[in-house]
Amino acid sequence: MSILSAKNIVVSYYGDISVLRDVSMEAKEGEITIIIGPNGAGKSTLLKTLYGLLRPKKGSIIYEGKDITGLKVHEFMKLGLAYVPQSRTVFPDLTVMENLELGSWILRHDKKKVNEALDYVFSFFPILDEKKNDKAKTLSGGQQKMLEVGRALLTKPKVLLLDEPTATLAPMLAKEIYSFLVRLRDEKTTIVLVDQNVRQAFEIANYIYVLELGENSTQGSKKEFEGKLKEVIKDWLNYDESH
Amino acid sequence: MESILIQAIVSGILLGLIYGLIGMGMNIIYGVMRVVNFAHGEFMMLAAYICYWLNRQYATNPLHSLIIIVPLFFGLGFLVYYLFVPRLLNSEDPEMASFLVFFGISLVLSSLILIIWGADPRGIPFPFKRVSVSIGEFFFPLGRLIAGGFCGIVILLLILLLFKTYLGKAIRAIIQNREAVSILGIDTHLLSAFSFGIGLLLVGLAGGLVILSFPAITPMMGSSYTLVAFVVVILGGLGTPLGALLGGFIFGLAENIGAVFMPTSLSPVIAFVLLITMILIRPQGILGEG
Repeated sequence: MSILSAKNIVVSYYGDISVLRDVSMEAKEGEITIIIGPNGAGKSTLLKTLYGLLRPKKGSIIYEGKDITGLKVHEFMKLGLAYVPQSRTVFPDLTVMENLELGSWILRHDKKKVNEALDYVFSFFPILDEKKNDKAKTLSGGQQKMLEVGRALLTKPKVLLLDEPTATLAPMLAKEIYSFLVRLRDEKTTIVLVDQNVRQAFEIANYIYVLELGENSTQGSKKEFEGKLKEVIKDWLNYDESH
Repeated sequence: MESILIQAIVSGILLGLIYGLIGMGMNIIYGVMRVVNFAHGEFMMLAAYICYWLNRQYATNPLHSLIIIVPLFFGLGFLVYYLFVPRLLNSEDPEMASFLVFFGISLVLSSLILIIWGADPRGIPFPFKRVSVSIGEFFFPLGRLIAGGFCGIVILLLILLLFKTYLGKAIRAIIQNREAVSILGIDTHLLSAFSFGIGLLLVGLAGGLVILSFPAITPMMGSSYTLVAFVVVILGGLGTPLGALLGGFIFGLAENIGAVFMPTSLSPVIAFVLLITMILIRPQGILGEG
């Protein structure tokens, strides 16, 4: 069953030039949906639009059957969504614990829930517990990513949107993040993942969307894509070379 | 000479606390919104005039007037925020746009005060029985001691707010990364309006305390306190609330110790010398990060 979907959305940053043109996608409950495509395809823009950071000029965003297009960003977390952007979003001069506390902002009036949420995140990332009193800027790149993902998990979101979580991470750490995502899916969290690390993302995916030049290109289940993936990537490389 | 110097140091620390309060308000506003409140000194002057007016009308002690000033200026912060700032944040260069808008507000405020209370310096009868306190061979002005002590308490409460509460942590977080705060489910506009309220509340408190520390207020004093705020935040570090406190101490001490050796009319020179020296040596300020 679809939990989050974009229907025919058009998004522009400035003026009339559209970054996304008539793009549709849907994420099924408890599955990992990946969005892949060459540089500039509009993958990150789609994720930002799904989380309300960008407002579509046309089309709509549907969550649990309700139209949530145009809702303010800070309302998305209350609905049960969470988003981890590609850019660094830890607060460097705050401690790890303070960063996590802010992730539990919407739970802040219920101390018991906050503590449960912290235990939940520490169970995934014990290193955050060890370093909870350190300033976030003293963490390594991989640990900072764990902090960002952990912070997004505090509210136990139904849908987690992730933009390139493994970019700039060492292969070992990237592997850890992917196995963590699988564990999260096993706990019934729906995941929408944008990734350049196509092969590894494909390994854990249930459904794949390919975007090219701001439009839907191909899509299908992992089974439908088996054997086709190489061809799709080859197409992008040809595209990159010819432009 | 030694006793004069010691008195100047104590006086400088007390004044530094008031300057710190003014600077912390400006730094919170700048840090959270990247808005340069060029009317900061004028808001402080407005608070001082309201205290003066309350004293004339109802013989209110300025410390009691603060009970009105605190909610009034906190609310004024919300009003000013929602009237101007969201539009400024959408502009291409919020810092420059805010500089112009708040320069305009500073002109409006000083003209308004000029129209209502005239250009003559105003003051209130000193509300306490004694003017100074003597400790051994030293004499300290009571008004400044009370104002400094009050500022110390407020600064302590502010530090507790910033470091021990969710709200304060969110303010420190939004100073570091605005977008990241919004994705965590925090209403950035409400948080910014709250921060603006805190900024004006602090400067409003300073206005009430200034009238205790200095003999007269004038409709032109606002700009010199805006300069104080700028010097203090640049010394301590733009956007770092605690830096402003440090900047306040340095400026207060420099001004008071300077006055021992130089004519008091030269005190603006001290401000500019400190400002320029800091910009040359460490443009990000003492606690600021490059």
